[in-house]
Amino acid sequence: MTCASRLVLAAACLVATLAACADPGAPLAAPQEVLLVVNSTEGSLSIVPVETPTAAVKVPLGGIAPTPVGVSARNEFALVPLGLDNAVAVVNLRSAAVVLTIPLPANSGATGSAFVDDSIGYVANPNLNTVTRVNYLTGDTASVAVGVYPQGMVYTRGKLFVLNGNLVNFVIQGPSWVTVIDPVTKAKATGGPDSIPLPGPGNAGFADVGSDGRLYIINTGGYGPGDLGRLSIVDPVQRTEVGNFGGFGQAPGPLASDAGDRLFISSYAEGLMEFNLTTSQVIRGAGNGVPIVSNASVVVDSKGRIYALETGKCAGGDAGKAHVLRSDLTESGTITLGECPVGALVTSIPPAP
Amino acid sequence: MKSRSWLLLAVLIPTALAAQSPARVSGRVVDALSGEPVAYAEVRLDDAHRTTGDDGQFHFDAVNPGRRALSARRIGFAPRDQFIEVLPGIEETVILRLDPLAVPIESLAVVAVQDEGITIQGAELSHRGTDLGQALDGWEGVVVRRTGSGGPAAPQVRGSAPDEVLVLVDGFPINDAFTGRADLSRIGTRDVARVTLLPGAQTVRAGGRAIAGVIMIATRRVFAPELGLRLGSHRAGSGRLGAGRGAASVSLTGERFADAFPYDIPPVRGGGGGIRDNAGGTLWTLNGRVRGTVDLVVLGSRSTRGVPGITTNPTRTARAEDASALVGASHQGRLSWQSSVEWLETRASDPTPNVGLPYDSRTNGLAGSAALGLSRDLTWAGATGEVHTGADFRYDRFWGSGVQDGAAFHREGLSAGGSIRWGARQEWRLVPAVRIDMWKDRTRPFASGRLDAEYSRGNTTLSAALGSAVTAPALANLLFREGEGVLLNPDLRPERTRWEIEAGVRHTGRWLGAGGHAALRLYYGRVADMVLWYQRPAFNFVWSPGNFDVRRRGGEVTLDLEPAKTLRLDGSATLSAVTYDHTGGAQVAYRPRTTITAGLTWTPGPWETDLRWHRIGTRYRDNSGVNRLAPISLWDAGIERRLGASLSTRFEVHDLLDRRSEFIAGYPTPGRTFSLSLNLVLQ
Repeated sequence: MTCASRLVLAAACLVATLAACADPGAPLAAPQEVLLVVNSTEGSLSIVPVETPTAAVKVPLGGIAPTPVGVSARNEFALVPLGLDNAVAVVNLRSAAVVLTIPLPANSGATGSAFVDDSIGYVANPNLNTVTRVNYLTGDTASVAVGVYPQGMVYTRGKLFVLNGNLVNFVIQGPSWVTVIDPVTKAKATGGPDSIPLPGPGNAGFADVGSDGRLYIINTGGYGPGDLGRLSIVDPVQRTEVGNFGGFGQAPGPLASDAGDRLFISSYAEGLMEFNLTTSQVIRGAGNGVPIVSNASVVVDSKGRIYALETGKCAGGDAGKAHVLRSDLTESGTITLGECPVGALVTSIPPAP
Repeated sequence: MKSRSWLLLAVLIPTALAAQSPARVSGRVVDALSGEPVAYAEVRLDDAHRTTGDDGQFHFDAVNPGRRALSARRIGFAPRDQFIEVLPGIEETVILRLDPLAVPIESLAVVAVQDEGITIQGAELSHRGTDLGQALDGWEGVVVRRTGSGGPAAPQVRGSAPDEVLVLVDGFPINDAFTGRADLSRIGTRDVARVTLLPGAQTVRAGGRAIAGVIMIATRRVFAPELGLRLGSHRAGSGRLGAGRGAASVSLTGERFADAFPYDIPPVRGGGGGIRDNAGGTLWTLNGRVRGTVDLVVLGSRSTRGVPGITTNPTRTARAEDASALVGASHQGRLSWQSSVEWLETRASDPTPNVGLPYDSRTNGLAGSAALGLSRDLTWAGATGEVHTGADFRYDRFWGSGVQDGAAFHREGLSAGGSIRWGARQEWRLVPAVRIDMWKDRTRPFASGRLDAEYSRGNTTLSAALGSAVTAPALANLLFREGEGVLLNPDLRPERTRWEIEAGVRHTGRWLGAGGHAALRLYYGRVADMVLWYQRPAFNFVWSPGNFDVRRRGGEVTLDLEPAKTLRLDGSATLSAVTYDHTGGAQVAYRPRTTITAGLTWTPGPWETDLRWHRIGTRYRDNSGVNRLAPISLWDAGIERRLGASLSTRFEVHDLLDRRSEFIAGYPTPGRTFSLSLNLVLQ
């Protein structure tokens, strides 16, 4: 053994000794909170640390001709349904790479996803009127029939609430409804209604869980002049709609709760709007939204910062951006994203074990 | 394997057929300085010789096919020698320019670049593919966009969109009147005498659509009955009949596209292999021409193609049917004119689509065009040249379920230009041109111009050009019926090349004992309002055409070498940086930044073998330069045997290494394919 080798060996022993002596009761490193944004026409996922936005990375989603519009996440994994690629990309947020692309049934049009646990997620297949249960660690899949044109879903109270847009050929056929799936039985839930009607203009596609535990669902409605969207409030325990509000103008889109009594609703036409959960009042409705141009989505981080996405032209490599708003809805800055950011989520990546 | 052995055997078995040579060579000898015909020049073709008349013309009948040495001599002029390729059934037309100074020049190899444009001869084209879609892909920076085996093959030049290249057959445009795209797969290489490419902003000279270049196709004159037959793998095949009498020639071709070929299922769909169904179809083309004081041209085609769809969403029953007919007449002279009538029908249907309702959309169109030109030769202070003026008009009308009711469009153009040449040992040439365009609903005309300049000394020519161009949006972008997933864009603006500057050098000479030709061209231009389709963000991400500013810059380098009479090497490489015109703008989707092609042709005796490598560089499937598509690298090979003067047989392998490339993601090509063809000329 050479002298240099002995030195290396000694250094390795020292490091090992110090590691063994480390305090086992020391607090874990804090999870890193990140903003996830799906850049649709670019086919990428932006991962933006909320405390250091300049350290953002962009993950190409691959595929052939994907049309991703949404993202869900749990721990270090994110699911991005790839739309016309009929597949879902599993992104490891820690390594910032697609680690698995899971094929879904042909012509699924994969849109909308939700995590159930540390290995299972669900993806909606709007063209097949089914949702597919995927093991995002192994790629195993199994499908469950739901309503017409499922395009969004939320997992809460141990159940999966699937939003049936009720579209055929992109034309609204009538009001939407929610199909309730029990992930344990992998079938429609029992112990209550398995279908929740949503009276309104139809085309339900976006939902969030409010601080009151209720489901807040946007019925986007049609895209023509005179079409108006509505907000449905659903009790996930009783599995019934308990409220229905208008005042959000034409084609409202994704919404986000601030974990308090505020609910923000995005809209291409109206900008960023606000609804109060406690008073059930539209605080900022159609005609009074925060003027965010082409506002495609909104999310709120743990510190109450509001991120309102501006899509940009969605063409020509024109980058979109996130407007970062304070709680008084004044802008504190912007974050440059990819082309056509449309779906967003704030999640925390646990530190590596 | 059995069928492959049979194909190979058929090539190798010699057949002792001999017949009188059917080929002809004709042309003119002209003064390189003045352009005037040179009378009493001695022209030699191998051992035969002719003397030109007052008009400088010469003719050789009964020429043996193959590579032939052609030379011209005249007292007071430098001798001119060159090789030409002669195929059975071809009347090869050559213009020999004699330098009036008695400067000794070295013998020439086959020269690809003529006075104007870049030219490839029919004989070489037939080695590169059976139709121009195959043969021109990779040639001088031309990228042919083709979706699958039987899909239309539209050329792109310098990173253009497929509807920004004008394609002329014997002077008549074949760009689809509705989509603006030309389908090169409808033109068999056996019907082509030569193809000339004028890259760059050329609408000033050629009219609408020529934003990025013009491809001019000269059809071959047939003067004896011809029969061609090709059998290929995956049930592909074609047959061709040609005939000619006097000034008239006609050919009819039928083709069956490859179908049910293996392809690689993309990883996003689980990977592995599958069979590409619904990819086949048939194509019939008719090409007729009568040459005379008034040239008459008849072009017709009818195709039925399966539309297999993208591999992530394959369609089993979708079909596309297209038919078109063009009848044109033209006269060339001081007062020249051209007129044509064109009819088209296109139908798209799917009785059982994967998603949504069945559809059956049919569009018909009728177009008429006329052009008039007046030219006059000039001689001034030792310089020679000509001036010309012209006017052209075109009217299109469409009807059917795929367009808005009563859709019609008309456009008009006025042009003027000329050329002037002076100098002797060092020759200068200037070619200025201007054009004014108007079309329906335009309140003011568009003006564009172009100036080309050349300086030649010995065998080296320097060139430069500055030009602008404008064209109306393709009518499909303006007039289609707004439908599911598609939005009309009534605000679409015309595409304009604000300016484009080019510079080049070409040289013919000898390097390391090998005769050859080398050329380099560089260009830089700004295109305003290029029409590109994109998904509109508002609401439902429907597709719609939009205008985008783009910068294009790059270069093209070509090299041809003939180390021996039986060996020829050629290659070209192009760089096309076509980026959105803003800071950090990404390469426009599906515009490969680089293309490279290299070929080798070896002709020992009656055999001819060729090997070609073709590389299409990285493309991006999105407009942000994020999701890259790996470069495509393909090898093609062929072996041909002439069996007498009348019969030849050729065996080809395309995609030798079975790469199964996809220029457009999700649209695989058949991969390695074999074909055996026989061509017979009856004399």
